[in-house]
Amino acid sequence: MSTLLKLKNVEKTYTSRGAQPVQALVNISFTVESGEFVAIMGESGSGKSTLLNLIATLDNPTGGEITLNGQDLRKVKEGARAKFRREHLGFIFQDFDLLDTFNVQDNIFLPLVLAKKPLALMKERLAKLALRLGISDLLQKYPYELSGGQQQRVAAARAMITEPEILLADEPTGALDSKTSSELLDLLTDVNAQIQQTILMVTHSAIAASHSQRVLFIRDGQIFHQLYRGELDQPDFLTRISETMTAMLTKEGEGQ
Amino acid sequence: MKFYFKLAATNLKADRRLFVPFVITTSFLMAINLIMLNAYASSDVLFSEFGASAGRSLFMFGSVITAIISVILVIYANNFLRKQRIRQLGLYNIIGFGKGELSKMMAIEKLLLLLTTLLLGGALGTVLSRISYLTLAKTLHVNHHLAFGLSQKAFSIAGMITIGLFIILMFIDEIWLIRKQPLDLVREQSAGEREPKIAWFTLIFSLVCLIAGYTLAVVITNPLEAMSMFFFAVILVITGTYGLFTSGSVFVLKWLRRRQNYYYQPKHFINVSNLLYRMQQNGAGLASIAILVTMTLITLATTATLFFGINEIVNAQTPVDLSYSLKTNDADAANRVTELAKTHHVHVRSIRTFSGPSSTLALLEKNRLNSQSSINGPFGFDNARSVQLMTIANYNRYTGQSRSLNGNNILIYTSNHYAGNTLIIGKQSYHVATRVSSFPNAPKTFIPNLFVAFPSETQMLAALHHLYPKKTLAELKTDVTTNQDLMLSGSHANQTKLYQDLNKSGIALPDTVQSRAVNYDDTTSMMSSFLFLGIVFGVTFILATLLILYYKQLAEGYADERRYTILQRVGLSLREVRSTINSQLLMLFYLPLVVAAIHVGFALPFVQRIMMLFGLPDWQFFLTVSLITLAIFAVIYVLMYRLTGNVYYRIVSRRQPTSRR
Repeated sequence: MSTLLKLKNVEKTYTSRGAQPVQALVNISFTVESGEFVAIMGESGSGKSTLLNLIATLDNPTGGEITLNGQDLRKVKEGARAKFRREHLGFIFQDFDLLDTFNVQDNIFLPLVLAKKPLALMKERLAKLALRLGISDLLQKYPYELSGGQQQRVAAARAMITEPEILLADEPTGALDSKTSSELLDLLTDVNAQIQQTILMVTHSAIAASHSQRVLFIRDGQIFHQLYRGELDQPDFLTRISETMTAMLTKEGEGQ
Repeated sequence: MKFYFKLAATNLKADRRLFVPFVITTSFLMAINLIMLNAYASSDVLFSEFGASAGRSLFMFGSVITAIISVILVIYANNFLRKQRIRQLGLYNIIGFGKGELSKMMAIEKLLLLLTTLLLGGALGTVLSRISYLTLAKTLHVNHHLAFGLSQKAFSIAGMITIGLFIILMFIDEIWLIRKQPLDLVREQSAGEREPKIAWFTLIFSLVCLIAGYTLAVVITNPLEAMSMFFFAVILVITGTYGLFTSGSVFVLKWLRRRQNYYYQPKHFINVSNLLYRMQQNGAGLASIAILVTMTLITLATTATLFFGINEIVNAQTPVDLSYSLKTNDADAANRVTELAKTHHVHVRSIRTFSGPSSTLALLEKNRLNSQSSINGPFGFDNARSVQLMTIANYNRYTGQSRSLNGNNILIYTSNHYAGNTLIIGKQSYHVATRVSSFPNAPKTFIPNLFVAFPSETQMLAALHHLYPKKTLAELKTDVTTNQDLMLSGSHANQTKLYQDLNKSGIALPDTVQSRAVNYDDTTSMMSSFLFLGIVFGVTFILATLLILYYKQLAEGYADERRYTILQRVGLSLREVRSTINSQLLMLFYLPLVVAAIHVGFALPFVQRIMMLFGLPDWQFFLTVSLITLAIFAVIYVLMYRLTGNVYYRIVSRRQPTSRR
């Protein structure tokens, strides 16, 4: 396994005129190996979404460096960022973010159309992907005709059709019920296992995090703790995560 | 009840960005209606005798069209408004507002909007109507104290139109509310956004309407018929345009989407799907723009042509400086008129005298000349000729030539080509021995001239008898008028005085004196008022177009905001977003302009035929003025594009892709 993503002393401070600067991220360093499934856990306001935005090149760090496959993200120019995202990253968002103007097939094609890929390639990739994600019957439907779980699987297909180096998932189960949540998480696990898709998921749900191989706990903009799954099965890993969270919360109480 | 008023007022205040443009739209429309109705009401004062009926019918036409446009525009605006508020209404529904309470709340909102509109629109309309009246009176040299230019009737009709509009809106809202299930209100925003189906009936019906309208414009070559069918053709084209924009656009876009090689290009991909998605509500707006642009172009081009064609019109109507008819062959009349002219410092350069029967309308069928009463029903203008019969002696006296004819030989002059060697009038066939290519002072009208000179009076009377079968030969023989055509030199004012004096002098028959100078004044005042109206219309149409465009961009900006955020996340750069937006805006902007250009292309020949009635047969001149108008308008249109496009772009790109919904 090789290192895919590397963060070194990353900082993010928001300064707005006339207000105290807010430090969202303080000295964050970690790496993600190729083929890993990593979860970043934290409460709202912990800075986990800021972190994801930095990795996604949607925002700039105020300090430190982020490299993806050896490429320094700071050196990707503003104008080339969209292309960079299109070619290297895949996104899954909490609210699916499907375009209601397109049917399912066109929603999935979108990043490839933007990249001006030939139609034959799009169709070939979609055929494989649709089968894997179980959305073959939905291709001609429109987003408003789908359930939340179906929409999120379509969003996953859109994120994966570019065969990204890393799949970034921002609270992917946040808008789903427990059954469809676990279906989606199983799906991500499968994709990770079968095609060694690297996944970085941001979540506040212990259950979601328990499907990953490694969990980074983040609090007040700092990495608080790290937990490897190792040989544990998912329910056991969940227990470990819960324990860690309890410890974290308790410590927070002590800190006051 | 007080509670509802408070609530409605709060809603209006909170959603200013929706309601302010709405009230501006309704107020402005009311002001337009007021201006038109006031102008219509004062048309009797403004147009003294001359052109009064033409002016009145023009104003009437304008009033009806502005009322129709008002209804369509306001319904469009209201639909937009309601769609933007669905979530808010759903929220009220959830916290315990039943349908009854909701409809009461919405009705009171409408009531408040109506009162604001009546106040604002009334004030704006009053000011603009007064300015219009004063400007018109000044241009037309009418004493503006004759009337105030504001009519009570106009105010009550405009008020009634506005109130009626709001009642329609309340009715539409009510029906919409009744058909909704309570929870639908919350879900509406996503459920309402489904892909439009092709409305085949609308598509075919509007296609038929448009083709029928175009056909009328092409087929009807008779100016009088063109005038009477104009309104009908306009209605057909308007109906067709609205239908085609809503259903035809869906049809075309779906066809484009099926062409995979075209569709799966980044720009086309986003544009086609975006357009398709919202074409049904957008179509009406675009159709309104297309029609407004068409109306602007035609109105401005027509009135400008009439204005700049004043000289041509005057020359066609009064080919000589002064003409009059005499009772009998009064040999002394010429001298007396010359003397009279001298007292006004006007020099008579030439006098031509014509004695003979008056000219008449007749039908030329192949080489046979018949009276127009010999066929039933409306006669075709293609065969109609303005016929002047005379003896060769009459001809020689008028032209100062010395030609001779004998036997059944005749001399003819035509303003269009006549190929035949013979001309049959009644039972007699004549041989065309001489053709003259010009005839001094021959009037230029849309009906071609046919002048025929016979060797003897007997032959001329026989021919005349055929054209006037009800009159006896003896009657025809005495029914002779003498006309004198004078060319003058002298100032405009002096010629006008001479005209007035000659009318009083009793030398000429009453009501037969015609002066080019006087006609010039009359025509100038009428065409100036037409141009004024054209400009008022044009400005109104342009402002209405601007309002719709602005509204449309606002609505679409809000609707597309989220879409472009997603696109940026998925990998569309800001620059690509900008270029995609630009190409979409361009399409939405230039589509109405292109449609308008096609409409104008069909309408111009049609309008030109109507203008022939004014004595403007020159189509090249009309075309030139139209093209200049089009060029000026295109510049204004591009400015409007810049202005409203910015509104859209600001909304769409204001949000960073990082921010969450």
